[in-house]
Amino acid sequence: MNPALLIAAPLLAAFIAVIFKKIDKVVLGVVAVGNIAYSIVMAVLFTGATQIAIGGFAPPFGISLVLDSYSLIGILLVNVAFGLILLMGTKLVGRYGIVLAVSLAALNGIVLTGDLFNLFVFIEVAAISAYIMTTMNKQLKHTFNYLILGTLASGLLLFGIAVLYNMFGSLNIIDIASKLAISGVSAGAMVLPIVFIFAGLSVEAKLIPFGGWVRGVLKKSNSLVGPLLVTGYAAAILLVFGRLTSTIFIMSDGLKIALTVVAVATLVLAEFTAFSKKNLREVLLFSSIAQSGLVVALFLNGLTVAAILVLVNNVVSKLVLFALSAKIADDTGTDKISELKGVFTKYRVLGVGFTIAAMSLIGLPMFFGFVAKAQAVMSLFESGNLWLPAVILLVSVIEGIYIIRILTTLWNSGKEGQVPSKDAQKEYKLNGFVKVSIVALVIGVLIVAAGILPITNIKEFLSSDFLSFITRSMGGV
Amino acid sequence: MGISIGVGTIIVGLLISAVLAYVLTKINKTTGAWVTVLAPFLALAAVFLLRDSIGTTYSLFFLEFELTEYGWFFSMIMLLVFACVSFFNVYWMKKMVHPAAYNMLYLLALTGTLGAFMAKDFIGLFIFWEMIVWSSMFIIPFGKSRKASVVYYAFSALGSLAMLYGIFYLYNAFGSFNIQEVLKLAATDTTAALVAFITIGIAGMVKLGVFPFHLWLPRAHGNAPDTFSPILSGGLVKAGGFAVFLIAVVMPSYEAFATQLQFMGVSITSYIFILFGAVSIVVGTLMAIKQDDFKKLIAYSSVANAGYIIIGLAMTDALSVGGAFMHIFAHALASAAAFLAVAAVSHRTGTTKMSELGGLIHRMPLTYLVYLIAIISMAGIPPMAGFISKWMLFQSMIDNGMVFVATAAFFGSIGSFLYVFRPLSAVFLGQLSPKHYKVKKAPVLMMIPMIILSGLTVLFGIFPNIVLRIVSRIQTSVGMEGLQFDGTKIIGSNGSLDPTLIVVIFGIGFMIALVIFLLHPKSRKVELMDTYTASEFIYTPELLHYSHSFYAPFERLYKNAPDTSKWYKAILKKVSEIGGFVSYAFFSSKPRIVVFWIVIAMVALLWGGSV
Amino acid sequence: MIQYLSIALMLVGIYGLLSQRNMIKLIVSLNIFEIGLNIFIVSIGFVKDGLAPILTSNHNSSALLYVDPLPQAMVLTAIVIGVGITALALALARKLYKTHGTYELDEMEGE
Repeated sequence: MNPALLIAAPLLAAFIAVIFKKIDKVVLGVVAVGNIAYSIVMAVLFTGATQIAIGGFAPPFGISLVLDSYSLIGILLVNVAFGLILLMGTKLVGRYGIVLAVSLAALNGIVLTGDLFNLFVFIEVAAISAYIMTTMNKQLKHTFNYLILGTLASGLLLFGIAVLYNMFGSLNIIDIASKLAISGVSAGAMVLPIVFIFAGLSVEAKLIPFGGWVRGVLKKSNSLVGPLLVTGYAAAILLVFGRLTSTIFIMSDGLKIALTVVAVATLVLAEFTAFSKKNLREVLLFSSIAQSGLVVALFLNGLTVAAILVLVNNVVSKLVLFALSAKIADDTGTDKISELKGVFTKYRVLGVGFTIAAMSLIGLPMFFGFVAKAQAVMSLFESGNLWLPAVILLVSVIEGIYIIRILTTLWNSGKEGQVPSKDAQKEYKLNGFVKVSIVALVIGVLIVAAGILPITNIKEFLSSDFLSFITRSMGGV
Repeated sequence: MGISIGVGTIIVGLLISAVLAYVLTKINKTTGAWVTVLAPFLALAAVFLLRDSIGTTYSLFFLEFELTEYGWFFSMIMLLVFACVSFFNVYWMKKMVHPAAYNMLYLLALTGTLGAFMAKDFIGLFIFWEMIVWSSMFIIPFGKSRKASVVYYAFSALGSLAMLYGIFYLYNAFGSFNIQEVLKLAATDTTAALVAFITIGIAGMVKLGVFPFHLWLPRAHGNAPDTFSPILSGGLVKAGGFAVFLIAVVMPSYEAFATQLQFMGVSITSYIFILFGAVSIVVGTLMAIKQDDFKKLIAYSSVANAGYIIIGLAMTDALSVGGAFMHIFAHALASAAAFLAVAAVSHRTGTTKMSELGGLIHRMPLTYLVYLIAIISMAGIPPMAGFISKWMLFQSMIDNGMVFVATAAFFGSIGSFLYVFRPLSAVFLGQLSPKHYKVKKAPVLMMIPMIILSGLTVLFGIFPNIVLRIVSRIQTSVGMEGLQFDGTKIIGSNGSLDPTLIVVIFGIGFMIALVIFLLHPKSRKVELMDTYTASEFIYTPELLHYSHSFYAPFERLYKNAPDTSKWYKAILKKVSEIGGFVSYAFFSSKPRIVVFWIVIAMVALLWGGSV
Repeated sequence: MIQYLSIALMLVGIYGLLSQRNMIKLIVSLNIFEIGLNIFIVSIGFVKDGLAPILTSNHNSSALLYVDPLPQAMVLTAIVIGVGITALALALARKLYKTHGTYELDEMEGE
């Protein structure tokens, strides 16, 4: 099984779509479905971690793709998220079919690549397609802002990569990792490249204070671009974080603390900001910034399994939440929470899907979010960290407050101080909500299933070899 | 193995009936509501029959349950409350926007409580604990306020996440989730015991509504649907007592903190908990006196009563724990009955504001009687169950020499006369408002549960030993000294109490009073608006209603007292302000500002990294 | 030496990003930053007295001293990407100019 097809197929689709403009949607759909199917097949047939050389150059000299259980999770996540978003927002694709296909190729590339420069190229390609996609929101000023910052960020990333190349004479991540182990480069010498790579990635991963572009771009985004940036892009970039932290980020204590401070500050401040916001999409975008902070903090502490679980939970639940919020905003013209009282009274299935996703996000038991949170807290305890679990749990109180505020308002019409009644119900009209509802419900069922199954034996789950093997298989071939 | 009733069967049965209630309500609202009546009754019978199999463990798929003495006791209280309240659901179906969801969540909340009381391990406890939270969190906004639900969730989340921290801390330390096992191990390690005591204790305090976590009670209880307020106050709040019991007595705290500074017969940690209990007695009492809304008043009285419960549990001697258990039971019965009486009044009149009511004794005499019995019990006057528990608690406080705490408790008891009398006089006594001339008495189906609850309150006030013998067994089952009895007498530390004798004396007194009342000439009935005004026309007779500003002179004494809700609001305002600042400062649409931050952050990271 | 110069060039670019409000000037600053970066990368591969890494009839031995070709390949790619982004940025700027009638970011209405 060659994972390169996951990148090549969408690229080919993009070229076909350029030539035959009329069938671009069909081609895009076929490729999206094909990618999901192919990644599932790869996951099923997966035997062990391998490096796949591209163009006949054996690694570390040529570009190579890494196929291990870590990147498998990544491609499953990215492709399935992409497919679902496309399914829910088919109507919005319009003339952006080519760009979407390119972005799919780039996202798969980001997750799969084992070469640093190649990573830079894929990030740039993904970013350029994101700039073009965000023009859909008709907020060109913000798109321009995003473009400037994104380009600066990839410049910083490239600088870091160049410094690493200068130090090790290699661009292959695994090669650099092994050279690091042999040569015993001091942690002090690694500060410069690590900080530049971290900064470059943080702009895309939306960490505070790097990701300043995100509010303007996502605040008014439609149900295609918004979910894609919040889920697919975030997942791909965060997985890069994980791969780099576990392989080539040899950090001094000072640097580790400094980077953890950035990540934890992002978690706390972004939750505070989400709490202060009154619009659905703004709340959700700050919530995903916070989750990014948490994921990075876990990665920095070497807790890969927990980080992946939190990431998956965030991607899955945000996919539903953001898509539904953007859908509601597109059709009703507002996403102000107070103006959407009782919208779920009419669209119950939509509401149930939204509610399950929201409850998973805040980590209530019986939903997948609890499994992720339990794993995060537990593994932090195991690593002897007593304060970070407390911070995580405290901010999830804040998170819970704003999520519950949304849920109670969206389910119940009527003024504060009065019993909700059918008469006070505002009329809402959503177009083509059936498809969206079904997707939301199916994801909801999966979230509940994935929330109940692991706690069937939580003790074994917390210390299971099945999950820790993900950590072990990373980086080592 | 044939089908035998076990905890697993009950839980599954309740879950199925929750789904069934949802489906049936969709078809026919009344049928669905009847499911919520039947299911708790069947479960009540089933749990009652399990009395003999205490100590058995059950497994349901992946969950493990263990029926303990105290788990059984708490479950019985909870089922009793749910079963009685559910009759009211039938009448409320028409008034709800989401009746099917209400019925389902109602039964899920019940499942959550039973599961939490019988869980064998902490994970099960936490899962069911959160199930209580989210099922009730969705029910509360069906009432008058959406905000109330958010406040409720905020406090609950604070509690349950504190508990989660404790659970994982203990798991990390002892490698087990088994409640009994872990708590026994924790008792040998002072640090672990302290973490468990504080984290799980906070969870319990939040649920009970002990100061400073009491603010959700008036909001949630006061604004929840009228049928759900009795559940919250009589039922779900008592789950907090369960959590406190676990860490105070099951652990047990007196062994774990034996090396700590001892103060008034308890460790300093326990004493701090007791002080919080004392403060909530005072705060709850004072706030209850102030309320105009009938439901909020009872909610604040629940805060005060939560104080007694936590004091009793934290003192950890035989009499105090027994008293706390009796108080949990007595207060569950009384507050459920009181809230049901409110619900009946609200059902007939459509309001719970005392200044809009009056004279309902003429229209709803039985409801009046139910309310009277409930408040007598809450105020701790014989011959009601509430008296027994307070007597035991006072005995223990005095015995330990806790002067301040006892003062607070006595203050609360006296204060409770004030606040329970206010609704009595404002709602039931006095003159009937013209609006309510046509009010009918409560429907029969509503009367059944109210009479059951009142009957039990009186019964256990006269024969408390029925309950106390069970309590005594609970105490011996967790390895502490049990209560002592002598026939109908309860043996206290400095005296004993014979409730039956008291009742006889009380009965004689009552008969004498009745005779005097009957011999006395009848009073003349006056209309509400029949007010003497010296030739002035009255535009706002409501302001002259005597229940308006009932305790104004007394309230004036503490009107400048600090308002706890302001503290929380200030914290949240700060959070919001920081959020606004972050959004303004870091998330600018101007590239140069973000570039500036990127440069600053990188310089800081490079500096921090090279240190 | 050339490395310090290239870093100085990058800093000039960043200074431009920090100080300019005109879209065109921002794009120019970005390009200066990128040029500095590209020069830096090329300078990594520099070997004193090294030959161009192309096999010719004169230079066909691997024993000869060559310049590192990889950074040059990287820079080529980076330049291409940079040009693409510049084009996109200019298109955006043009479009914004059409709606707002100005290239100054601060003079545009809306948030």
